Amino acid sequence: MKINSYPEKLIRKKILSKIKPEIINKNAPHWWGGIYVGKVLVTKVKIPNEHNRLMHSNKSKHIAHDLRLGAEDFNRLIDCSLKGTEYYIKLRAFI
Amino acid sequence: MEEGIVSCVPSATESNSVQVHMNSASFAYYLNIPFLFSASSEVFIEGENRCINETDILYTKIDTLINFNYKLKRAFEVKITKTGDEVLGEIEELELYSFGNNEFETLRELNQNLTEMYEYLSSKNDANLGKFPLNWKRILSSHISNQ
Repeated sequence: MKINSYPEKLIRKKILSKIKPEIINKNAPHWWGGIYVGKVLVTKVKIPNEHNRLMHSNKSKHIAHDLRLGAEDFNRLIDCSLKGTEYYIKLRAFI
Repeated sequence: MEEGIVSCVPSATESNSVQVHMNSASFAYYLNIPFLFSASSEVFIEGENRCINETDILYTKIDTLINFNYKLKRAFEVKITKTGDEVLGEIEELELYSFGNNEFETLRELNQNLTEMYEYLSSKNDANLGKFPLNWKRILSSHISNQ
């Protein structure tokens, strides 16, 4: 299954609102943040900018990898059906 | 006198540097600028505009850090892939990546990310790092030291 194309700003919004990473760096060109389960840093993610342009799978696959999500779950995260709580349950496997 | 960069040649006095001959409105001068990145001959061809076609995968190295508070004990290998109009740079062992319009942008962001990541992970107790960040910290510490 392939990751769908989404506007960059939508991916940004979903990461910030559902996953709520700890922002490590707000310097240009991209923010990046740490994702914690409890007090343990599990992974990091580079956060897309506030652009309307579409991000295709060649780019978003790297974000999905950062988030430790497969293509299907990444699409669900952006399309709304994967909630933050479910994401963190899945993430526990990567502690 | 024409203003701007007149020439850019390998420095005869400092290794891993280029000597830039510049003209300003009032005088001409030379600067020795350190290479931030060294590259295999497949990536940079002296005196020519380099072109990476869409299917090229090339390897280069970051052997100097932009943040001069730190120095590299060992270079990081960077995988460069041209995808359409963009250049992707990856440091695979750290799961770091950057997209840019050209190699310089890509490598510059990766260079910044290296020290940001090193500083951040160094500030964390190992007990608070999962298996991936702990491995990144180990790799970064083996490559980077304070000046």
